[in-house]
Parts: sequence; C-alpha cells; structure tokens
Amino acid sequence: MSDISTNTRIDSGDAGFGDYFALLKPRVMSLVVFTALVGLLAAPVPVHPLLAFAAILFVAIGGGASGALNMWYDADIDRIMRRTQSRPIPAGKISESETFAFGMFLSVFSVIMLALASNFVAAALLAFTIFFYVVVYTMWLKRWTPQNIVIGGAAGAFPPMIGWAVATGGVSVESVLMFTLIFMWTPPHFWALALFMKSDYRDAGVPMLTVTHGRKATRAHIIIYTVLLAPIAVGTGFTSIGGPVYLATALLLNAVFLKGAWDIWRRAEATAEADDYKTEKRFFAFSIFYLFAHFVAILVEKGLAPYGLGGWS
Amino acid sequence: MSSNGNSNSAPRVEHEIHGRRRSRNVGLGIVLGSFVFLVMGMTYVKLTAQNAAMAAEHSKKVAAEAAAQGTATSTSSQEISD
Repeated sequence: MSDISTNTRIDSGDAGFGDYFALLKPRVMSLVVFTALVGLLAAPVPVHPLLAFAAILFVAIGGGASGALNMWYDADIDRIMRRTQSRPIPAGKISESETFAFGMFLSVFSVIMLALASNFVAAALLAFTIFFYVVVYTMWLKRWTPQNIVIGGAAGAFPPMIGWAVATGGVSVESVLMFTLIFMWTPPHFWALALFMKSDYRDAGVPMLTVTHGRKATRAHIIIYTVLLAPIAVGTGFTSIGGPVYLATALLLNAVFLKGAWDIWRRAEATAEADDYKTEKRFFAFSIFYLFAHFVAILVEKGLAPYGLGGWS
Repeated sequence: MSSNGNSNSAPRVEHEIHGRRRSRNVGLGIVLGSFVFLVMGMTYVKLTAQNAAMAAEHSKKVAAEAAAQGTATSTSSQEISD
C-alpha cells in the first residue's frame, strides 16, 4: 500500500475549528458574555432560562463577529504588532476574504436570532454595537484620533444594556449606568496597557495617546478618567440594581483604583522604565478585577433580593 | 508502507492536515446539531408561553362575557318584576 502525499501545504482551507474560534476574540467575548448576563439577570423582568441562554449566546456570537471583522480590517497592523502576530490571519491560517465572509455571516445571523429569541430592541442594540465597533471604531477612529479608545469604548459598553433590553424590552437609567461604567473604565484600562506596550502601537502607526501626546499626558488622562469614573461607579449603588454590598464594593474598589491612577500620574518615565512598568502593569491587572467585581456585586444584590437582603428595600 | 526513514515525514504532515480538517468538520457538526436543538427548545418555550397567554386571555374573556350576561339577566328580571 502506498501512502504518498505531494500536497503538504497547509492553506486557509485547512484551518482547524480552533482557528475560526480564535477569530471571535474569545477573551473579549468572555467579558461580553459576563456583562450581558449581569444586565439580563439584574433586570426586574424574569426571562425563561433557555431564552436567556440563547439570547446571551447570540450576543456573544455578535460580539465575536465584530471581533472577526476587526481582525479582517486590521490584518495589516496585526502583522506588525507583537501582541497580535499570532492571530489567525497574520499567522497565515485563515485568509482575509474568508474572515470577512465569516464575520459578516455571523453578524447578520446573530442579530436575526437575537430578535427571534428576545425582542427587536435588543437586536437593534446588538446591530448598532457591531456597526459601532467595526465601522466607527475599527475603520474610522482607531487610525485617526488618539481619542479612539474613549469613543470606541462604547462598543464594549453595550452588552449589559443589551442584556437588560432582552429582559425588559427597553432602556432605563440602570442599563445606561452599567453602560457608562464600562465606557468610562475603558480609557484608563487601555491607556495603562499602552504605557507598557509602547513600541507595538508606535510601530503599527496607531495614534494612541502615548504616541500622539506623549506619556506624561497619557498618565494625566488616566487619572482624569479614573476620577470621572468613580462617581458613576459609586452612584450606581443608589439605583435599583445597587445596595449596601454593591456600595461597599464600589467605595473600596474606587479608592484603590484612584490610588493606582494617582501613583501612575506621579511616576516619572525613567522610574517606570527602571522597574519595567510595575505600577502600570499592576493598575492594568487591577482594572480587570475592578470591572469584574462591580458586576459581581450587582449580581450579589440581585441574588440577595429574594431573602430580603439585596437592594435598598 | 515503506520502512525507510524518508517515508516517515510524509504521513505525519498528511495526518496534521487531516487532523485540522477533522477538527473543523466535527466542530461544525456539533455547532449545527446544537443549533437545531436550541431552535427546537426556543420554539417549544415560545409556543408554550404563547399558549398560556392565549389561554389566560380566553378565560378572562369568557369570565367577562359571563359577568356581562349575568348583569343583563338580572337587569331584565328586575325590569319584569317592576
């Protein structure tokens, strides 16, 4: 029996399942799933568990689809940046045209399915989120203005609002506050990353604040946004999704976050470089925990409500 | 199969390509199968909820009609007695 193969080339048609899954940016998708789930569960209207599961799944697919379209459009700079060189397109596993088709199909599919699983308000919000992330952020803002992170952050802030809309069919103060919490959190989170991933953005020509306005200005921007974020995070505690547990969590987390931002602001670039951006890296890691803990606290308040302990009533 | 050393590399590359294709096909199969079950489940939940809502609306309508009929009967019997 002969077993001779002359075709040893692995082209895009030979990409594995995991490569397609990687196009959906699983790490970003996990944040989308978590915050959308909190928005859905925190809402005052109960949703059937299967419909809730389906809705969150389609929101996740929509978020993933926008990630795939982002990888399609940004393939040129992904090849330059060290952090993104292992993504499926720069790694040569999947072609750009295939990624575009994949992202477009999943975008339309997720919006239609979310409309069928829940309602048109939630589906419209998901469609707008995909549009905002792909067109407004990726195609327009990202390579044009150093405020790209600020405005583009809105795309990542929509999921809890979509989750809330799945349950209630509308938008309310609570869902807007959850949106604002993520929206205001995004700039300090990404600018801290930009401070210690400096060469990546500069090499790719992305006008990050660190590249256009310098590192001192970036440090100042981090503390400004952290100061603006604190009252929103704490203020959410006085709404129907807040309560004593949330308020205590928010007060503590914002005190630590503000201290971190203050430390970053006060640091000289030479000191930061000398200790390999230890403070900036710690602030970045804490920022992930900061957001996660706020949303967990909202869930805790909701979980305690049946026992007469959650919320302010 | 040949037993010389050169033939070892070819089957290994062949196996990797097949492995990738298999992972993609199996993954897609699982995704499509799960999607079918999800749509079935969603349909069942939606129809059950819709039926329950229609049943509740129907019983409310019947109760309202019965109440209206009862009022009409008592009014007409009162008119007769007057």
